[in-house]
Amino acid sequence: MAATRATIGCHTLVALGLVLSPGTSGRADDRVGAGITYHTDTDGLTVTHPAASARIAAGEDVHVSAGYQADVISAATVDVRTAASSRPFEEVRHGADAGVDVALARLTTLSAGYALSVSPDYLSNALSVSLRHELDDRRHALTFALSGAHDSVGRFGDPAPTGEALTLAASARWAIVLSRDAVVDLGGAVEHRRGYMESPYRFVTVAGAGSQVRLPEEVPDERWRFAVGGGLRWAIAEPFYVRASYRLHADDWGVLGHTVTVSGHLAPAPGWLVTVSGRSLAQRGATFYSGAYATLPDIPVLRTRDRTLAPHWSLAAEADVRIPFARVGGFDLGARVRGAVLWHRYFDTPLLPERTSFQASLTLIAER
Amino acid sequence: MRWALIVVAMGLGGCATVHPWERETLAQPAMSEQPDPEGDAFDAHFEGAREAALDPGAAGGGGCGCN
Repeated sequence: MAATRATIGCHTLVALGLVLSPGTSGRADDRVGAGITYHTDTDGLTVTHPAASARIAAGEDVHVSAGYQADVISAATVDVRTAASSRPFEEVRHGADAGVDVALARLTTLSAGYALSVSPDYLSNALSVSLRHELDDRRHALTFALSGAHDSVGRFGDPAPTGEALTLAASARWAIVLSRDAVVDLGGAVEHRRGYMESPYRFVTVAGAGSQVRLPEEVPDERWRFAVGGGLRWAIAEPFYVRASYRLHADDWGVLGHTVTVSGHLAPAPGWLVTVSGRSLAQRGATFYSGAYATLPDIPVLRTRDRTLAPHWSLAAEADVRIPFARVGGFDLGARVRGAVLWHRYFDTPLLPERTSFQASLTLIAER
Repeated sequence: MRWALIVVAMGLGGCATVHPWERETLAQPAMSEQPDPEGDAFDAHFEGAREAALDPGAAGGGGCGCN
């Protein structure tokens, strides 16, 4: 344990730092990160994702943050190839966000943020506010958050939006310090979304005896989503750490899923962190989802071939290494190198029963 | 259900107090609430486009053609 190898003087500094910093959130006072992620998969999709973010102190009790990200997408997926206009497409999405954290009291922080996401066929504006309060000698940290988003969806080249949606969400999180080397996290969230939730590019073929029609997908105009979960952060024996979490998500469309994540961490030297993690998601599909509709002459009111609504199982494995470089001007400079493999197995999608994805990323970090 | 009750009972007061000078381990990056903010943001958007498992309210903005 670190407690046995540090001097009393170090303990005092650490204790002072912990009292002044937001408890177990582990956030540096000032942090700048910039990186790039590359994604490719066996379905003909590539995404290049540059991102940059900064969080700096703007006074004794105020931190401000800002970020930018983009998705440069090149898609020749099975959905694109089987669409009416079966040309591969390229598209760029831009995202930006800004936020402020204000320490209302020594153990209470109020945060607010705004996020914008823009692509040729999509515009999203989102606002969020959260309150974090620590109590019982900082053994508990409670965070409550509210958010709202307005999304406008259209088709590329069409100036008028096809539809709009409004999303409101609330979440609560409770972090409990069990001991000097274990923390439990509990949380839950609810979201209500109303409006246009189809994809204007997605069509569904409905077949019958000797004939078929191709129709735009139709999903309900309202959706309630729920999620509850818990996790454990545990320092087994320094420098070895384990994190594990479970999450249940469900909605009133019939989707029900279980996500389990486990990660192991090794901190071989100050500033270094080696992480290996795995994730499994098993999901029941929406009640109205079908891989093939054969109901003519009846046309189902609700119809979709959105794979996110299909029953599926996914596995992901990831490894990343954080490497310290130097200390310059009071900042610790470092890099994070990350690689991941994701496998999706769909159980009712005739055109794409499975897909394997690969991701690699490099992030440069400066923090103090 | 039994485990949930045990966890809640522990959280409500069954654990020993951890003094500030005993929190060095808890302050390590591997124990932080969000050890990889940039990676988490990408995962939230990416998984939101591919899975219905996204945290409610966690990420706005679609339009990523990656489903």
